[in-house]
Amino acid sequence: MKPSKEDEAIEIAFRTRNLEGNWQVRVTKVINCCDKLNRQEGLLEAEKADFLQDYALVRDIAALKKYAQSHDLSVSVQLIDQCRHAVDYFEKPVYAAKQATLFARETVFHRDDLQALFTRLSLQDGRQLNNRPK
Amino acid sequence: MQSVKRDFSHDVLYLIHSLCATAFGASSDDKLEKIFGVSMVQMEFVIDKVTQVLPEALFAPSYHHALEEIKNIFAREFIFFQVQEKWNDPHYQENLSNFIRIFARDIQRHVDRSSSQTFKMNKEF
Repeated sequence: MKPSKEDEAIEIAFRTRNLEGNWQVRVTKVINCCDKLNRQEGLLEAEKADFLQDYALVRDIAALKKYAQSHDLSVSVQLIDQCRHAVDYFEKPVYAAKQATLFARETVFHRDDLQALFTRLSLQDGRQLNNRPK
Repeated sequence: MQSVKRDFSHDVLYLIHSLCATAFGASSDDKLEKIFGVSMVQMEFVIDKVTQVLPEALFAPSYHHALEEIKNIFAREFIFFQVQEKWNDPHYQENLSNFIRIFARDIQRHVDRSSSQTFKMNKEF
């Protein structure tokens, strides 16, 4: 069922509610973190400090994807795609799992996604600690 | 509140606590309040409020199989919403209303899709 115009306007306003101040810097930080994790590099303490809040913002922007073609958004399509990739990076294992099951379309995400995200971060952290010169 | 909804709310709260304990080692109420900008009483109130507007069909015995999944989705979506909010922010109530509306809408779609799929399967068999 297609959302009503009112529903669309509310969702866009909601998803963009935190696009003020240094939001682009925060989004860039998350995208850079994804790149680092992709390269099997650990994150710095400073990068991890605000990660949850910044990732939540990236998730909101990624959710605008469905409105990118039909609405004049305050975020570029390119940035939405970057955010989408960042979210896919963290939640893709779950996505792959849901493709494999009959009713997965209904489940949207699996409970492990958030845990997997932070387990991944803590593993990276552990690896980084182990690699420190003694 | 119906007992089934009360249990649902309690379980969601438990999941939020448990995810935060896993993710940040934040098991105390003080730490959670710092992360979410709301007291535990306020958080319980908000979770109850969201639960109230979820589709009734969700709490029917026929939907029991999907309820655990919905609780997990709810806990996660709430964390990502609340971590960006503060209770005393002037826009908080408006943001919360929009969060509830969007979340309830998405769950309603989930229920609708599920029902139509079951209906289709019943027809096929």
